[in-house]
Amino acid sequence: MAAKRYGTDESIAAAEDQVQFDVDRDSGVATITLNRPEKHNAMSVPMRDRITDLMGQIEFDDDIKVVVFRGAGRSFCSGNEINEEWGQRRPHERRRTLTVGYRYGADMAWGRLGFSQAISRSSKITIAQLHGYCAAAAYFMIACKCDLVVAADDARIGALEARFLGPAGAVASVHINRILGMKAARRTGFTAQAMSGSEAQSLGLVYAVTTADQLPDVTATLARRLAATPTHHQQYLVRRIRAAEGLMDTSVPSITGLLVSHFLQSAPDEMDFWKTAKEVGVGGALDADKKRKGAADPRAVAERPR
Amino acid sequence: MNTSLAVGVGTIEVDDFSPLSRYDHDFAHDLRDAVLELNDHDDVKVVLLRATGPDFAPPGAAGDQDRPSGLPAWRRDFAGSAAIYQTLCFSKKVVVTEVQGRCTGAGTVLVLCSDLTVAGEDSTFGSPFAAIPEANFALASLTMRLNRAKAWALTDDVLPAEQAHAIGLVNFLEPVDQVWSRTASLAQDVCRMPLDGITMSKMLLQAVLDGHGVGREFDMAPHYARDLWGGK
Repeated sequence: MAAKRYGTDESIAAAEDQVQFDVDRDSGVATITLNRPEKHNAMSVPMRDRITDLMGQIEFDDDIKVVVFRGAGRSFCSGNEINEEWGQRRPHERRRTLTVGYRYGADMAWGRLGFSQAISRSSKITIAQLHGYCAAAAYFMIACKCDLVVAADDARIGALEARFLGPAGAVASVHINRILGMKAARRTGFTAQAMSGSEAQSLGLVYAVTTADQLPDVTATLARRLAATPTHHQQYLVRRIRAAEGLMDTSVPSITGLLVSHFLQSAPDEMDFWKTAKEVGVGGALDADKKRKGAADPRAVAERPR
Repeated sequence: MNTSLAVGVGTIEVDDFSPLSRYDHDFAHDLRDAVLELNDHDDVKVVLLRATGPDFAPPGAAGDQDRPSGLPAWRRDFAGSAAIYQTLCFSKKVVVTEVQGRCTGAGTVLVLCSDLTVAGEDSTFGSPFAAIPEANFALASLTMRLNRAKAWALTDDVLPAEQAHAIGLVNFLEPVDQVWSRTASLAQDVCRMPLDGITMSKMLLQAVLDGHGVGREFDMAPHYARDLWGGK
């Protein structure tokens, strides 16, 4: 039976161009390019599925030693697409059934075969090349899962979604605490302020920083250098790093699954929230949201029957 | 190998520690025994590892032995729970490494297993992970943070002293002619602590290290060794 594909016919058809894949077999470097520049490369569900599929394909391609993630246009990636309808249900429905959103959240993040773990558990060396915005899921599901990060000095990196989505995944991620240290992880999660590439280097996330115009060359040089490592030796190093990461419990993105399943289930009326937010701001959208039909604020204290 | 004792500090001096990188079993055995003796000496609060030569642990020459004579002996003298690295890492006393010049291979493993490190401004630090399967990646990750440790292992970059200091691998960075005095000063600071406090703190630290996967990572060494040496 074929794997369930999520998304609309249009979004599934668009994904191949929105996630481009190139392999330089001479150097052993593969490149995955997020190509949705008009949306700062926000990832739709089919885009993430395509990345997962590509990582699976790469796993069994002996010519590929290093995988580089990059973004076309002004930014690396602004995170997950939040104005997307792909079969979600309304909130009151999803609380009674295991909806497509939860199943998808499980497939993508909780499951060991999901999106972020397809990157973090890859047997290849992974590099994220960051410029412009690297926000939300792009930060904690791609950049933080890659082995090395090369960034433009003025890149804007962080859990910016925590400003409006609620859960500050960056605070609770074991992985991010290991990468940044606990104080810095809390600062990024509880303030949602972006780190520059330079600051991210000083905190330990980024391996090398350069100017935006030199970023492709610096990344390519690093990728080719790593790909030139003898295959057996590279695989030995990657295997022992993956094993040690497992021992340190850094590969279980539980909070990522929680976060993803939380906000990827936006129903049509929830999508009105974002439309309203664009017009009157998040505060106004919150007020409007309370008035929508069937809305129930789970934080409200229910009147107890006498 | 020379061991001396003065005012709470047990100092183990060698020309350099590179014999460990060459899997010199006698050297590893003697070093382990020297540490064990100081661990149980009531007058010792600090165990200091010092190289008297220009380099703490220089890289080997071409043709040097780069693997042990056999896995059982390797476990006994290098990778096992009673071997040199775990004896240092889980020592009852505060272990200080004093690094000058080049520090590569097993020398860097000693630095990772020690509590405190004083380094000269001329020092450099090579990743131990390419050639030393018993090197503990969890310790590196805890010391310098995860991504830096990964990059160090994958790129095989040699870290200059200033960078090693900036990322937390080195506690104190000193001009070469002041390294000994800084080490002495640091050791005396530790020696002002009560002995039972030091030992209890080290016991507590063991639980923290194990909670972070350090012990399990040591236990993985035979798997890494088979992977590294078995596939060549």
